[in-house]
Amino acid sequence: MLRGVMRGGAVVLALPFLDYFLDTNGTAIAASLGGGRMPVRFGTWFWGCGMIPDRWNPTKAGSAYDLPAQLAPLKPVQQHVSILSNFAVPLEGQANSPHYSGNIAIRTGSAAEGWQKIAAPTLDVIISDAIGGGSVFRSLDLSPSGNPRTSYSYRNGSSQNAAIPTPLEMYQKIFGTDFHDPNAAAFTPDPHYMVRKSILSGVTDERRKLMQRIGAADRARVDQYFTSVREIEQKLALQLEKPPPAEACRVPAKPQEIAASTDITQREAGHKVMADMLAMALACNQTKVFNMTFSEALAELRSDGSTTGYHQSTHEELTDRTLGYQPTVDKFATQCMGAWADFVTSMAAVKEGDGTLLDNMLVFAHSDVSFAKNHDPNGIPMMTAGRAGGKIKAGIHINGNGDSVTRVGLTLQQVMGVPADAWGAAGSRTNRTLTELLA
Amino acid sequence: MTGDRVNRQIKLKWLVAGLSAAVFAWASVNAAQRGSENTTPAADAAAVTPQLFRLTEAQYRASIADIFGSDIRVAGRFEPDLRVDGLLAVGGSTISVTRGGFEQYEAIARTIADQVTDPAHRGTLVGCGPSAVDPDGRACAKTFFERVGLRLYRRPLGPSEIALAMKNWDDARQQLGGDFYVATSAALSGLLSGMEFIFRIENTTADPARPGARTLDAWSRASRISYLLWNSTPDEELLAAAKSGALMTDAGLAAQVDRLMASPRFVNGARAFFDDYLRFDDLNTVSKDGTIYPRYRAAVTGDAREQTLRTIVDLLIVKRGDFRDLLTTRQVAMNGMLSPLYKIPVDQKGWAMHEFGPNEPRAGILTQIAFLAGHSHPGRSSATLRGKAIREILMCDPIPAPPANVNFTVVQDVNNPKLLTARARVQAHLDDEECASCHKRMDPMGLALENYDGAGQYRTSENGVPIDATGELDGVKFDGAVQLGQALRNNPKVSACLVETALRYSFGRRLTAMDDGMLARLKTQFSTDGYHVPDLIRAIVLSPTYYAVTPAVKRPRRLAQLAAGAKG
Amino acid sequence: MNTLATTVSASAAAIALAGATLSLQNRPSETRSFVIASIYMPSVEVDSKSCPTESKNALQVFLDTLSPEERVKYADPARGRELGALMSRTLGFKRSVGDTPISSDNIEDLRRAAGIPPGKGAIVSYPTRHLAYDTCTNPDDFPTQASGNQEYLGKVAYGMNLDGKVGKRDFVGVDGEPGVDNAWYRAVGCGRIARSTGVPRVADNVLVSQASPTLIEVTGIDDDRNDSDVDVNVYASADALELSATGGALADASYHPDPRPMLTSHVKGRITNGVLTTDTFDITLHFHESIIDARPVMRRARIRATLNADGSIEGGIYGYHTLASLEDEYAQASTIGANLMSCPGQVKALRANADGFPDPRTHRNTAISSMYRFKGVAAYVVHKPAQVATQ
Repeated sequence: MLRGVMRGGAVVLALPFLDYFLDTNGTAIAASLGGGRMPVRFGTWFWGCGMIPDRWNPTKAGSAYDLPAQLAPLKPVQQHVSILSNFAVPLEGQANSPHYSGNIAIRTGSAAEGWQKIAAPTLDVIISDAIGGGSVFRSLDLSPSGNPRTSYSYRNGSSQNAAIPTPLEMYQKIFGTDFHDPNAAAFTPDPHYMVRKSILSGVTDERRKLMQRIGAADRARVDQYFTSVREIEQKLALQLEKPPPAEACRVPAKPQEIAASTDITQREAGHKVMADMLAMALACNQTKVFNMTFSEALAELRSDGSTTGYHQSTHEELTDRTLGYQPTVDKFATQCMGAWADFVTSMAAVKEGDGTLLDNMLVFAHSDVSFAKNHDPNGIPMMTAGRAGGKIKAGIHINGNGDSVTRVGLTLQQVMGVPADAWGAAGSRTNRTLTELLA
Repeated sequence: MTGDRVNRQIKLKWLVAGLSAAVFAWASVNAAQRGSENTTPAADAAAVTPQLFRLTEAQYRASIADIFGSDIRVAGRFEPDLRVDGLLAVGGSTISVTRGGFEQYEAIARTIADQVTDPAHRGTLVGCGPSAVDPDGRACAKTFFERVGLRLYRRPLGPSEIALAMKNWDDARQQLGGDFYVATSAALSGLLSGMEFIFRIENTTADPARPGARTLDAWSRASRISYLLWNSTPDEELLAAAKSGALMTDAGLAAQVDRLMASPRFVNGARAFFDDYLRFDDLNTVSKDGTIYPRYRAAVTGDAREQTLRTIVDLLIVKRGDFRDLLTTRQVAMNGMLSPLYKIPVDQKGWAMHEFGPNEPRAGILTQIAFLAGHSHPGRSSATLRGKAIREILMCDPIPAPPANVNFTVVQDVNNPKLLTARARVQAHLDDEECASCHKRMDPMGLALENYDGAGQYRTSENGVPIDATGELDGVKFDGAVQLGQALRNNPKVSACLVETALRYSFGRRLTAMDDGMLARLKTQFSTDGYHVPDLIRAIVLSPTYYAVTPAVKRPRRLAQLAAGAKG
Repeated sequence: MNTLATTVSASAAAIALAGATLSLQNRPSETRSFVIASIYMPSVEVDSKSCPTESKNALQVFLDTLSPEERVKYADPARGRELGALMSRTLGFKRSVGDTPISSDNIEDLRRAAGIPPGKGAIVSYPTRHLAYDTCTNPDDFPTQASGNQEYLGKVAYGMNLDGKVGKRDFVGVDGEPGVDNAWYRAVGCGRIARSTGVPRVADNVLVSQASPTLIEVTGIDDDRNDSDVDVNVYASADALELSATGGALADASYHPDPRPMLTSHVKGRITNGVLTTDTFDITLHFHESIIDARPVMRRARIRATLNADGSIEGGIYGYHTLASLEDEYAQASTIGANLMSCPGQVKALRANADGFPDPRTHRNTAISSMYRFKGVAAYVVHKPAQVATQ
């Protein structure tokens, strides 16, 4: 119970039980109240159009792996990044849908030819369902693209989690009027949240009556709607609580608006601003799960002044006879790795606990294809960054030797505490954890 | 023999039970005329047609403007609509609301409610308050919620819904210091956050014309025709027609349909349809390289969309023209933002109709910037993207995804001096047998549009080589965009596709075999009656089939026979 | 409905676009129009021989009149504002206060309230319209400040031979043309403004007079490479300059001419190998920016410009710039550019170098040989029908 004085009257509020302080074993952890473990955060980072395998895949497995040309930008952060190469996408007899099949298999564990046909939620949704509670945002979907549809987070084929598409909107959403600084000395619960919360619980009460009128085809949609309402209600309940202090939290300044652009240099600039803000959102415990989509699967990226963009170049640019690869494609792919290195740097820059924010994170980076020219779904580049609070190894290269990508998705979920002993549908189902990744 | 007979009896019992259950369930899908007060047991999904249609962003905004006035600002980002089978209208019956999406709706609801109750608006929109006879304003609040609730939910609120609104009002008064307007705002935001506002929810009732069958109830009819014809919420007159039962009669329905279609607001409904049909929502992500196309300023994309929509409305709605003329019309809406791309002088910066001369190479919507730039790359035209758009959008002929292991080595480098035009570059598509199977359906038409660059600007050559814009469609040869427009105009697939798309749009769902009859009739009528789009829409909304609810059991007669046979 | 008077150009352009090839005799004559994006006095790259010193700016001239101690104190550039304030106080500059819009009703009151002597001062536009009295509005009242100007001593300058003679003081043009008359350049060519921003490689890309760019309309063109008889109309635009996606002047936009006759000129010309040259005429230009609203007047002026195939134009207006209009432009600038130029010095130099149009009474020259260089892009000049009410 919270006894407080609001607007002149003493009010006693009965607050719902909050699962913020619990990990999956039911042990209470005080996030920053002396001697507790930091929460482990999970996120995905996506870039489109893959890489050129000969110039990306390290040759040496294990630690101290070599950095081929397209991985050169990772040099300053290599110790944080593990490479997962040479895993295969199970198509299960379906066609290889260019730019879709690989991405879908990695994120949902089974093949589908399009996002509207997926059979399962993406793994970030599974993880946020498990650990996202207790945070103001159960997850954050972000992209510097300016397009809210640049997102590969889906609950089902009709339910995409749209991205926050600009730095300014991201700031307003996370650090705007509803933000409560965890390190602020004073906290006064705002009765407006109580009112909003009780209004939403009234909305939820209408569910039963509505269900009586709805046919089975639409029931799931009604259910999803009311679940969404309930989750926002839970968020409002959280906002009536004083947030526990977060030692690493520094509220960022409002950014300048950076116009969204398909020009890759502009995209990188917007991305950097959003990455830095995300680091603070995580350090301030506003969320534990996120998705950052640097560019979409068809990589709408280009360079100002050039008639041919990244995606077109992957198909139309000839291999240079002297160099042995497509030069424009190589440049774009390397720049994408530069953006990834920026992201890792932003997370590593925040001191938290005995180490850094990144040490308490598990970021999973991947693309939609390996060699974009022929939409190769095998050997799709995948990486992790961070140590997941000590649970995984950073700075190693694991060669998948043709194993299914579902092993990776399974392992990530297990590391994040999802009780899964197997993952994937039918032929892609696996129960083999990628133990080489575990610490 | 006995075993067989027992088996047959069991099978029949199962069938009869199934039939009964279905009929029982069928009867249970009975939405109360008044709100959600019905306490009949849960329906077992007799309806296979969807009942929930999420309002598009445009519909949401129009509804708020109609209910509360156009000066109420609706600020915030809406969850994106989903395009299914080529239409956002169809996607609206498959989507729900995500957590992030709901958070946005709730925030928008609060900003609307705050404005409705602010000093500038409360006089006209709330219209009452605490008074001598009603000191805390309770009676006023109740009247307000009843009145507004009817507009928001497009049907009267049930007693429990009103009670909930009053409970919210009471709570808010208690928690937030007793101010009438603050409390009213809070409860109003609750109404705006309800599924009944954000979605159109359709309910059925017994069909007065066909015993045993079911049909959409009057409130659902009002919503359907209003969102179809005006892209917005039913007005007071339409709601009155629902209440009186007039919409359940042919004459009453026709009177309202004719009223809505005669109104200038019918233009909004037409625009919404064509915007969806042409997939103009995708224009939101078009970006052009300013260095390559300096005349393509930031505002061009939005104005180009507006240009084509205005042209269509002028031709098909205002002038009641022949739909096929969209492919050949020389009339186009023009303004000062677009004129430099068309290289024509304009008298004024604002919109005015312009007519291209008979010898000019522009005619039809395929020579307008929305189509040309919308289906190009940021720095280049694309014959394949444009050809694909013509096939899929105008001819309802979907192109499958490209094979994953295409041998792209045959597609040469764009800087190769031998391949100076798009035609030369895409020739590889047509030379390779595997590629040609799909590309021959796209590239020839797209290549006819190569006189227009990636920004839609006219050119006669590319890299110094004159452009060859010849091609063929279903045996009809063409040379250039104007002749391509002619060929498409006369191709029956185009008008057939328009009818099918209009029907899917009107229903807000995929078509099934059960719709075949209606579709065939509409197609025939459309062509014999001169291809008038308003007439097509009218035929759809006045057809009883439009309001019929699909029964769950597809072959009731056969099962009844079996059941009858089982008794003997 | 198309109500334009330029349908001739529209259909001519259309015929060209359709790629039809018609014989020369059958083709109706064409109009090509342009909007000017940059227009300025062009500078050559100077060196220590052509400009032994840079002309002093107003602060430097004033500094020279101070005591040695003060000179030491104020030599520090960080004290520039202080020096300017001191100059203003010492010399007795005046400025009207407040933001009251100036009109014929209140201008005398404002003048009196500001202490500006009757008949003196000028309306200046920066930062908001004010009445001011200072070395730029009334340079003659501040003779002590009329020093420090360095004349351009070089041999080469932009310009044209205007008087038909090759005088000893004439320049050689940048393309080798002898007898070039550009006394304006002699007078101000060593000033900071000319030297830094007056060179074409910089100034060609600076948009000028965006609020009212100049429009040039060439009509009656039968052959845009060689035509012995075309008509040229020059207007001030009633519409602001439209910008492209990259911030330069937008090609193919439509502009209405300012209806005021004083801002409209007509002259005959001819095109030779793509270069348009006109007869001489008097022209009043319109320079309209945020801080200036000036009407430069060129007498016995000629346009010589290349009509490029891409629709752009590049060339110059060569003629005698009236001192009155030049000094009026300086007056409007007031002393905001005190660290760039000194008005009394420049005005003195202009008057000393004036070489045309002697006043019949005083016999002093009232105009100075000059050149404005300009670049422009293709535009449509749209003439509203006469019966439509104009401003």
